[in-house]
Amino acid sequence: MENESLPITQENWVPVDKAYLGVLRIGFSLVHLIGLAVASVSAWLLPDPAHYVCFVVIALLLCSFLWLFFILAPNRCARTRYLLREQDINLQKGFMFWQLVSIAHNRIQHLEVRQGPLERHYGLASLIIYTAGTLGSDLIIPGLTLAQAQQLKSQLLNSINAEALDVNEPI
Amino acid sequence: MSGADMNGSDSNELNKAALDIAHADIPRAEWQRVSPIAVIYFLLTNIKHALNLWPALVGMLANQHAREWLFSYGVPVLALVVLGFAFLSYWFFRYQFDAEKIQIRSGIFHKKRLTLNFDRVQEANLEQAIYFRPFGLWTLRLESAGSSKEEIALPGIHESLALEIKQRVLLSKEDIREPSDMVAAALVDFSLKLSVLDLIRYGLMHNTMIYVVAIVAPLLGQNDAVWRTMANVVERLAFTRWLLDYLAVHDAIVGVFLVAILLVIFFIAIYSFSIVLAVIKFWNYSLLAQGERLQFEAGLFNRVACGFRKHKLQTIIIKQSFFAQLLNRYSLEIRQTNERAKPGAPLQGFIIPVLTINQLNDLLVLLGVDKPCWQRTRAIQIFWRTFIWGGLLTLAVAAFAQLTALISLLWILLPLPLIALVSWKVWYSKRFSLSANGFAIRQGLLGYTIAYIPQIKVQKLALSQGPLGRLHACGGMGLWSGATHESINYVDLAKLHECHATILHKVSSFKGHWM
Repeated sequence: MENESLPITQENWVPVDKAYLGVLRIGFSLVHLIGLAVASVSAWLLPDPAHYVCFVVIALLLCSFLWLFFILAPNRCARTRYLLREQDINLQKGFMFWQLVSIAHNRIQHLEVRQGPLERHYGLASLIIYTAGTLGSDLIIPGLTLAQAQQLKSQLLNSINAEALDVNEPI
Repeated sequence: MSGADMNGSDSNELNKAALDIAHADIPRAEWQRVSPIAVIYFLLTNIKHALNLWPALVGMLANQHAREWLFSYGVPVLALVVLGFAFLSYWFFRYQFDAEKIQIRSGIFHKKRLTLNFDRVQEANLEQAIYFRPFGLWTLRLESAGSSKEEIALPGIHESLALEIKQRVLLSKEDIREPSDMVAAALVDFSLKLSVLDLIRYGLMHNTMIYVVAIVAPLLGQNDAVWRTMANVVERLAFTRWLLDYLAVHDAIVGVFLVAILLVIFFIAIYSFSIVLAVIKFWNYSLLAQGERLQFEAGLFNRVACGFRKHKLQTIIIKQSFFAQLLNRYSLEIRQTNERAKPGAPLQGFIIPVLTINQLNDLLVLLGVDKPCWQRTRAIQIFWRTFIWGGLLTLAVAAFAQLTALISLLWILLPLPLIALVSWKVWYSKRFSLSANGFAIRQGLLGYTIAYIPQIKVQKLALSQGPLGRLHACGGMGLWSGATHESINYVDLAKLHECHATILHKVSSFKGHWM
């Protein structure tokens, strides 16, 4: 199965930084560690027949961990890429569930460069593009280097400012 | 008062009013209080806030001692506190306004001072609560534009004052608009008044009670005490005794007949209630469209006047429920930006409850909605829905039959055809339309809902494809407007790309204001 059966082919998509894989993997690991800890403590505390449920949960958690760590994370990292065009910005992501998100420059409300503790460790940052739409109408580009994120942000800002001038120009 | 009065006259009168205000001799520079009747308004809002403390109440009720204490001291003290706060809220609530802005000071402990420039006001709506009506007082709600959306409510002011402030808002708007707009405003493009018959239709079309009953009934069913009390009451009724005697002599068929009658009575009761709600909400509904502006006024107890400017439109929702199809009527709702962001909004969205097909078409032309060109999604979804949901349900029924032996194993034959039928109808009703200026999605099971988004209002656009989509070369699309999120799945790949490219191009090449 070819993942890019919905491509915007002609242009060059920019893949995110390789270090994003580390962020994904540590993120998944942390979540699973917490889950495993809770399940183990429950298995230890619960009486005899009930703790089998915890064993099942632990087994499921291990499976999902292996899947996420070794298959999903590398694929997602490799397939997350963005494309800045003259009038819009696009992001592709997803391994099993492919997604392409587009926002036109003239709909951007504000921009934010965000760096969580994990991302800071790898020198990465995310660029968040907000629109005026309802819940979930923003676009997050993860796995950019800090410099890349700042540059992309200023590029977008320039493009927005240029457009604002267009509107004000008398006809 | 009627919608025409409130909407403020024709252009001549508007100009006259402009002159009047320019030479207004009443100075409005000092801080003023609203009418003391507004204490009721603050009382009600305080009670609304206090209701957020209900979890504490649950804790109190669980404990015997706390319960006694609560009823002997707690309730009176609480009542006094709430009343005191209402009075203080009223006492500290002051406003002042001049030609450009309105200022409001409020708050008991946490002082707040709010300044709102009239030219920033998006909408000025008048509302008359039932307790204000005998005194001829109104509540004026002003909404500002911008990302930090503020709403000012000025409760308990006289009609003349409310209209004056509203006029100032309108005047500061007129300045930035072209003069031709003033002339256009004088002509009424569309008007609609709903009779009681229409409201009865609405009550039949949109019966929310049926869902309430469906949720409450099982909850009541779980409670034995409720059943016992009900049984006691019913047993004591003379009618029941007569009924039992009657049934003892007559056939079982008569019993079935009686149950049917009871059901009919039950439905009549529910639908009557729904109609009563509709009448309370939309009593004396009148809609007026003039140029850029649409305005409606409605309500039996709480009179609401809600306005709306065409350029703020984000999504149009057309609904025709099953009953509405029988009655041949439609409902229309217009969503504006950040609909959910305003607290205490009088009504959700801008609703036109009952429309005939001709009225609907006129209104859609007025709002600049394109004629749809409907296209279907891929029919393969019927198979997958049936396969997945039908399969799961069959397994569940089989397991239930095996484990409990309460039902025959033959019931496993039911889910697949049932789900297939439902999936077919869902697919049959689901359509999308990419027209010159808009994108619309139509879906429903018994009735249908159409969501229309003007292409230039699209904020974000997403295409998606899961494993099933990859198998059949189709995918889904999601659109976010300023007010809603709409999505459609199982669309042919080529069409999906066409929609994506067209809408994105339309959005980026539109240079005007969109909010």
